[in-house]
Amino acid sequence: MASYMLQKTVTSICTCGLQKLLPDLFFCRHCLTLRCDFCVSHEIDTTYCPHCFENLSSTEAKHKKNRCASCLECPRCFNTLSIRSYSRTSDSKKTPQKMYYLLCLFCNWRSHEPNVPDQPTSSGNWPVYKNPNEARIVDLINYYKSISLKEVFDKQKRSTKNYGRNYMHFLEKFGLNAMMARKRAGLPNFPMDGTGYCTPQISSSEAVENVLELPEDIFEKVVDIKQISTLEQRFATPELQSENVDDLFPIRKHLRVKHSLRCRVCEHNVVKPEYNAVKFKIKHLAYYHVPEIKIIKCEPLLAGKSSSLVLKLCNPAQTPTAVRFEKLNLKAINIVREPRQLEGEDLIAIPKQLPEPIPIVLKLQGDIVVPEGEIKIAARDDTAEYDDTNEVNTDYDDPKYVYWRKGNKVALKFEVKPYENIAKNENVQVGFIMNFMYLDTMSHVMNQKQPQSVLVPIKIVLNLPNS
Amino acid sequence: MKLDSDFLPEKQCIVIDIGTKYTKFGFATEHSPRCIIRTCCEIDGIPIPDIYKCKDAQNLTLALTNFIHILFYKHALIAPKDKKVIIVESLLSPTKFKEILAKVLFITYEVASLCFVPSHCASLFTLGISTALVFDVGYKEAILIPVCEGVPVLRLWQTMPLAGEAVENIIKTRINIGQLSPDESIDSIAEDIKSRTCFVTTLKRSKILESGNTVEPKTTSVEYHINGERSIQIPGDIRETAYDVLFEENIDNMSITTMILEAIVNSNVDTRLKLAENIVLMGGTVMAKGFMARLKEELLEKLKSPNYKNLKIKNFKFHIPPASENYIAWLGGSIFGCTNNLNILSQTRENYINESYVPDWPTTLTRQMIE
Repeated sequence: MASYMLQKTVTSICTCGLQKLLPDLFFCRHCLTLRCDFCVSHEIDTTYCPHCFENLSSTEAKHKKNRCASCLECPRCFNTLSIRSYSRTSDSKKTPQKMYYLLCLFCNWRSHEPNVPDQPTSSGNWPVYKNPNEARIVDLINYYKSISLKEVFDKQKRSTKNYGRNYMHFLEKFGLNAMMARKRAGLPNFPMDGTGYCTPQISSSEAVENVLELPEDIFEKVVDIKQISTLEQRFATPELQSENVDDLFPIRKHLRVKHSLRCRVCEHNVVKPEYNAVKFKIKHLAYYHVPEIKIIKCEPLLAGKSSSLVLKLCNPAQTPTAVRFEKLNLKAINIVREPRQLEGEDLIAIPKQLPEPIPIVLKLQGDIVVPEGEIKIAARDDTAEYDDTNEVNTDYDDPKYVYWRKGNKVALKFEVKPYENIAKNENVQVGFIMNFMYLDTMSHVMNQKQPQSVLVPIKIVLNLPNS
Repeated sequence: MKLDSDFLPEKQCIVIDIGTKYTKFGFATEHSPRCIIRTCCEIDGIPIPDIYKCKDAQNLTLALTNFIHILFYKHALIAPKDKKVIIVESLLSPTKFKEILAKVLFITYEVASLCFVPSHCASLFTLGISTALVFDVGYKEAILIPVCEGVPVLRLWQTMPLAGEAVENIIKTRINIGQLSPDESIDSIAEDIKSRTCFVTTLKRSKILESGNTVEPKTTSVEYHINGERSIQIPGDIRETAYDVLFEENIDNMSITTMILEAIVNSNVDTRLKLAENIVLMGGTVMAKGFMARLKEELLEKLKSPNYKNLKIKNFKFHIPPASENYIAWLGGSIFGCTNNLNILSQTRENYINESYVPDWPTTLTRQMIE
């Protein structure tokens, strides 16, 4: 079942030009176009810990550096650590004290190894380890900050020189009146123009001649590869990067985010998760709107000969729809449809610059004969599944194209004729356009007040096996 | 005096250093990157191992879009919209790459401003000096650009494809990993062997080993396990000589040692001594054990050769950075991000949309001050 979702046999071409599977696509109800992961803008909805599922606000997450306060990860195998306790009696008269340490149930790493002291509380204020040169970096940051500030002061000073002899503007600019008052009161002056501002001095780094030599015993020492950390383990804590496995410290669990997706063109939400639940407030997946296509029968394909192909279309929507097929015109394939005009508060005043669509490069290896005319598909009805006497009116169907019909599903006959020069064992790619009827209930579209049926074209590409 | 900017709820500024192999990513004003991750991404489920090798503009756009997405939504956990971004990049990184990166960040991700900081200059921020011979030995190539009073002297640039990749190739040819493990993991196994077992031996031992003699004490072999199933012996001589490829001279008598000396010879007479006494090493490969000691030995040895006899240099001095060498360029970018100059030197989104080009150098001419 999992491979069914991954098989790229039937793909749809998204508005941005990428070929995607139907479950990977979204459907913007305002623009009436397909959107994919690539062409929606992602926003961060909530931040949560993947282990304890605690939701954190964005400021809290920022403060904690996107790490969970309570969950810890094994530095050796990156599985979640569990907290273990034991009792310790330092003095026989006192009650035994409970102490806690960390244990990885997967690789048996325990927190005694890097000399993390055991904690008296289970929540444990497990210490955070820092770069030993932290203070030096703080000095450097302050130094460069003040230098750049001094530059600003100097620039201001230079610009004030050109005012000539009229000093009146200084009165307002530097609050001279206040300064005079301070002077009269016998207080020292404010260094308002930065003249008194001095930058903190730092000692610049001294180059050394005696660099770290190779340890004497490196040649003869027996190396146990298990004791040397891998790069992945080192980079998990970039500030320490210790080479010895025993010096690794537990890592706080990195948080994850729930995305909410927004259409780039009309800025409406396409997907919005619900807070604190594994549900969605808004989910306009293409899977709920666009008829799904499945191949149910495909005769062996032969170069230059036409063979029949049966596709099953399934309407997922609660409204009946109709489909109409067209041939794929390779010349016009890269023309992007203009987005619909919305009005009212949804009117986008200045359309912003959007990423360029990706040019579609398709190499078709066959012709396809598509059913003519409009083919109606009934609405999805969950109760109909259990109804055996599921009578569907098939009177209007042309038996030349409609193979069978049941509920909201219809099987259609196509004909595929691969080109003469196709390579063996290579998939035959054929394409067509499926226009499906979508009942548009949006009321804020220009010149539209009533729900209206709109034909939405979708480019479909089939990769048929050729053996 | 306490600076006001400490208290202002400023927009967060993101510092990214996209390396060939590893990308360093974090927030400005912080003291270490939030993560160091592999520079890899995927297009439509097909992994792209090296973004810099994407020649096609379309592919590069998709690859970078995917990569930036991973960085922001998996590691930074903030939406890039209206954020300031600093890219620490090598001065020799291709213009096309820079332009596409700017386009992806400005148009697709709508960042507020973008600033490209040359990595060689940025690394000096971590030392508080302004003149140095900055030597970056990363994964793909070794790049040397001297910086004089904060200005990179591009005339003296030196570059060689001698870095981590060259070392890994040596390991791959000398240990037959391919027989033992499926193809796709060869690179990662070679990297693992390099970083966990190899070291840079001394010049004396290297010379003896090169002539085919045995050396005492002999380096021990290491038992290495591949995928937890097979184990192989990594001979001691491979462990100590794998890095020697960096110091071996090629047909043009060039190695990483002569790169440094050539740069000094070609530089102004007045700056020679200062450069030789201010050597800054950065990049992941220089973190190999014994690298600095060997480089010094090699430099002193090469000084005796006729080519460099005229140099009146007695010794070489190296700077010890306050953090690991593999992220000091990033740390420099982070320190730069604290300062007011960031606002002056970065290009705003409006400016990019109006002008639709990225200037080669950070310049104040085309920009308006951003809030």
